[in-house]
Amino acid sequence: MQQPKCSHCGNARCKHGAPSVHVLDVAGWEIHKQQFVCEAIAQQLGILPQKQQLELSLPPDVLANLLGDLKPGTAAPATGDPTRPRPQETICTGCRLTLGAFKMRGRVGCPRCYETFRPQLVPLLERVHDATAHRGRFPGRPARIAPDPVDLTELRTRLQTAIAQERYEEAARLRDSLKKLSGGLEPDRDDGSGAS
Amino acid sequence: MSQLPSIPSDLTLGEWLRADGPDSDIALCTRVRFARNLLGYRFASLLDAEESRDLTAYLVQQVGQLGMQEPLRVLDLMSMSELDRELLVERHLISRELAAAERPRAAAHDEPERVALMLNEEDHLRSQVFRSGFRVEEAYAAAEALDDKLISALPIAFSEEFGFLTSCPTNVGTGLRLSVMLHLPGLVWAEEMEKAANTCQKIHLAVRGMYGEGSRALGDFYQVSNQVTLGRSESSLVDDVRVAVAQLIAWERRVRLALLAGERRPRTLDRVWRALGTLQSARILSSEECLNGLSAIRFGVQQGLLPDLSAQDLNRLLLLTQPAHLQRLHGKSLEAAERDALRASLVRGALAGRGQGAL
Ligand SMILES: [Zn+2]
Ligand SMILES: [Zn+2]
Repeated sequence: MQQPKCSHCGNARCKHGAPSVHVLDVAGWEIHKQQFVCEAIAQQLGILPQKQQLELSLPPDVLANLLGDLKPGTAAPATGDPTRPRPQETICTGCRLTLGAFKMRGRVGCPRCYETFRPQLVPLLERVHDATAHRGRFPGRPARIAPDPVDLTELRTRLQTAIAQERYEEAARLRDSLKKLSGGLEPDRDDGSGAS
Repeated sequence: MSQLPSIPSDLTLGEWLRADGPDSDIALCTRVRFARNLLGYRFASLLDAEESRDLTAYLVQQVGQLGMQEPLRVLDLMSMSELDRELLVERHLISRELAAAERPRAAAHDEPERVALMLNEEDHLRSQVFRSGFRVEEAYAAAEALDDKLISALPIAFSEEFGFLTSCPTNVGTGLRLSVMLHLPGLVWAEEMEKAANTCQKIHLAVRGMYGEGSRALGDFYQVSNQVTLGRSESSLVDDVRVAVAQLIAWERRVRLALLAGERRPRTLDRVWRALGTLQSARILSSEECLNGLSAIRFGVQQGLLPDLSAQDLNRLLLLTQPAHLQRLHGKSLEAAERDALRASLVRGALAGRGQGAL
């Protein structure tokens, strides 16, 4: 990754150190805006709690900020039933978690959530891990004999873009390679949208 | 340390303070943790009390049948006293989060405290393997063997694309967290710790204090762990930590020598002996003062300045002066002021007469 510049002081390295907090303004499927700030600025903006130590699991409020709701105080209040959707809101069929509740808590509710909230999760994974696909071991098999790491996510993202831009020939080709690479594990899908 | 009160058998040192692994003068312990979830149950943040109970009961039953070499002792955290849970936290067997939660949950560990499982934590199952000293590969191999057992006994949530699925996306993929606990007084005293921590962060390793909250690391004890869990193989994550920690250890050794040479030597010696003097005579000792003092003395012991004390003596004090251990030794719960007095007398007893005739 290229060293980003701090969105507030414009330096790749300011007196607080290198900018280490990536703030994404995500709405629906699109990243509207992204900025990098250093930790001290992030604390001033209320994105990071004051004097926060490096946490291994990001606290839910930091994740919520990475997932959207840039300005402090604009997040929906943390009350009510997390499984009761607002009209037309994305909801996981596995656990009934709503997109809003996921953004607020930064925790998913079941394995299927990874599929349901893919559009929000992929940029988050990219940011946190600098990767979007597993390259470690498979259950019962050590990594060294696992199949060649296949970046299904990347293919799927390209497929979605191709469909959105009505490039159908490319989409068909991508869908074929997806099917081949996932060894038939990939379910047939009409529109490539992961959300239900 | 004959002056210590007799120690209950469950308050022995445990693997992580045994001080017998490679580089154990600087690396206290290596820990490997895997985060796993089961199919068929919602993840922790959505579990209601009944599901939590079912899940915990199921996990306890399955864990009991794993056929481990060392039998596991299963603990129902719901029915345990807060003090007993706190004791497990101080022994690094369970997380503070699991101790404090209110839902049904359990833990299991073997007698040498080399294996500890957390059941119904932020993930359904978190397995941990400990090895004293700097033994990354050995600890990883043992953790993988344990994980294989768990995977064949339980329906683990896994996707070919995202790997092992976790409640928090920051742990997804390998679900692996490899940590080495380090004592780095040299880097702190030479004011190079910040530089060291920044270097680690650049290669995606997290450095945090082992004791205390907030930004300060009490007693110069740090934990270095991988931050990334996705998109890398386990062996490359293990390698990252191994290489970086080996460099930190070498750096710490260099700095220690420099601190004990030339113009800096008197100041360093003063620091060690001043700490020994304070801890040998204090009547009231807060956790913080105690940890900082023990750190300086531990440095002295490791550098051969205090031949009549051993690393194990110091590790034992580190453990026994923690609040829950103190109260356990005393047999009942204590107010903070009482703890500070008891801590001082425990430390005084253990250090009485030491450091005589040296230098
Ligand atoms: Zn800045
Ligand atoms: Zn779900």
